[in-house]
Amino acid sequence: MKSGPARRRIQSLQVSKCSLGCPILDAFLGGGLSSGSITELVGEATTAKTQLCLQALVHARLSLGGSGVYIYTEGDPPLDRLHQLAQAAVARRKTPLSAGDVVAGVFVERGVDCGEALLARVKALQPLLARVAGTPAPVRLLVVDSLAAPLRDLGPSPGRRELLARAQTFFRLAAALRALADRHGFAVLVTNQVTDVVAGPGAALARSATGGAPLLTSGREVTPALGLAWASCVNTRLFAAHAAGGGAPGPRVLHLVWG
Amino acid sequence: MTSDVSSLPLCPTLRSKLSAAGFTSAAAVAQADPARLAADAAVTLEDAQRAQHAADARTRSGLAGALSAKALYDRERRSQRIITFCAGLDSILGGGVGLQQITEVCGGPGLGKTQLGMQLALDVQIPDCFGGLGGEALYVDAEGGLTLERLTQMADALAAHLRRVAAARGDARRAQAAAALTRERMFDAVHLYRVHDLAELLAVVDGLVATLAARPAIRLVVVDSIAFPFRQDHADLAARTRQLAQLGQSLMEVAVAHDVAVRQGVGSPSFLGARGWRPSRGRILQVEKRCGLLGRPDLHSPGGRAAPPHCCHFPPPKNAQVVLTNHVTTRPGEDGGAPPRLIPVLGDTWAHVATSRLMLYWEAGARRAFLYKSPSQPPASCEYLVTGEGIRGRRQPAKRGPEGECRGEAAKK
Repeated sequence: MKSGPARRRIQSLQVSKCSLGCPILDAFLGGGLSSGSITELVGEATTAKTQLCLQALVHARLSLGGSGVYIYTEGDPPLDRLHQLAQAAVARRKTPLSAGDVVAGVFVERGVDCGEALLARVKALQPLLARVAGTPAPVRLLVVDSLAAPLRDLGPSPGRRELLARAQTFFRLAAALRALADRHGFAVLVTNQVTDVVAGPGAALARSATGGAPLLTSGREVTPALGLAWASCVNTRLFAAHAAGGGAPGPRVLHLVWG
Repeated sequence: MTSDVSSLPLCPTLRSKLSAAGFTSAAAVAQADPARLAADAAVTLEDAQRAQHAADARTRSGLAGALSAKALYDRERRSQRIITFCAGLDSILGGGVGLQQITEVCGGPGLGKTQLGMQLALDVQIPDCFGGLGGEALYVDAEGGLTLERLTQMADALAAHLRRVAAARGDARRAQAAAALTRERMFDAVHLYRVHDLAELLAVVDGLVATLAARPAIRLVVVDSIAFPFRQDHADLAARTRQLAQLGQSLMEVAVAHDVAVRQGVGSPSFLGARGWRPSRGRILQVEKRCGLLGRPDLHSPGGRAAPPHCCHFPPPKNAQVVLTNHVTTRPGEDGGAPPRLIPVLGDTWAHVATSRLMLYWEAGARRAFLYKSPSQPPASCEYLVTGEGIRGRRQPAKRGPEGECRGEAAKK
């Protein structure tokens, strides 16, 4: 008979948190991103999701001394911006590390164009993670930015079968991410886009993925993309919104939807 | 003569507080633990005892001090249940989770399924002298939802609550029991298994019966969630159905006691009729001849009352309640224009495994639970809250009345 996993002691569960680079945001999240679980950042375009991801990667290095993995799925990754943020952070803190050191600790994956490719790329991280685990800078944060880009498009006329196949990818991806995160002790941050909620019978269902309340951004109601199946894979859901109504640039707000 | 709470000879404020807390019949008031009655209805212990005295007088069969077989049986059933700390949930479940059951909790994300599992894993540890099972929990985490900080919060709140109850009564034995329930003790009493895929889940569940036999203190098994490992593989539906059936069988073995005395003694028609008795995988079960009705040794009755002399004394059955969480998915709307609805995942072959099914859902921004399958309880729904302390019910705000001070806590959202 195959023996299963061993019992874990509650007292030894991971408590280290990955900072987002801002003490207010960290306090909002109870210290930062939790390791071993999936935190999702949902928001429409220009709500600074990528900015937050890059900042978290920089601070994984500066606060936790850890490396990061950045899987970028929307074309060319914003490496210039990463370098800028690293320079600014290093200048603010008294640290022997240079901006180059910080950036060198971020392993970038690009060219992921579909769900299967993303899953394969995540699973293929295992050798890298094992190699870096023994060094002074093990991986502390893995970012997928964004999950929606390779998975949102279901094809010309999606039916039940396409939805089920995509849902299966979600569960496999979440399982792979959490298994690696659990074994190696890192946090997972995933970004996601939004879909408009059309008034009608579907609106109530859309709220089953938003903590029962409408999510508003730029004055309109939205729901996170990728549906209820992906929502069931996420431990912590954060929603970044434009507080002001249509068009006017204004303050951005971060909501904790659940987690 | 009606046995409604509203007809008891008590002051109207006390009556309405009891009703608001879910105690609507005199029998419910009479059989509740006094401390819990006081806490749930936000009344003083004296008021609770006065209410119980009045309810006792109303429900007594006529023989002074004697308990009817039904009252005894109800107390047996109650003492086997694990409370949730939300009076509404406990009420619709018939006193709490329990009685040789597999309870399935379905619902969408963010509703608190994991929170409920964690709350129960702590509540099963409530000591005997507080009317709890004084047991341990085995928690299978398939989603990484159980965190140290959240469990710490809930454990601290539970310990504080027990200490308050013990202090209000001035009971040294309870105070001692509450003090003994430290964070360390509570964490040690939760046996945590983290599973990442179906193979690991099946391996843990396969070994459950042996694990529980080696550790009879475990009285609750939580699996959060049963859905996540299965949803990773839709491809081979036949294999999945077989594995689900096998899993269900293993869990039923765990939930139903092997002590045949329980079967003869409980005699609940719904327990025997709904499931019947099936030998697990061809093993010969040890059949012990017992006679008479199931009785409980003195120290296992809440309040320490002696069992009536005509009952035999057996040790309480060593079974574990099983609580599983499940996901929901959208079922496409019917052609008649009906809107799409949310249904539990894993299909109809799985649906019969659970004895009780609770569906969690949102309604106007509030969390609600709907019990839609149960061997003994009617369908019912209630609101519940997820607070900093854990799962709680909504309390009435504090009021000061002429009969004395009343304590109440404003509900935290």
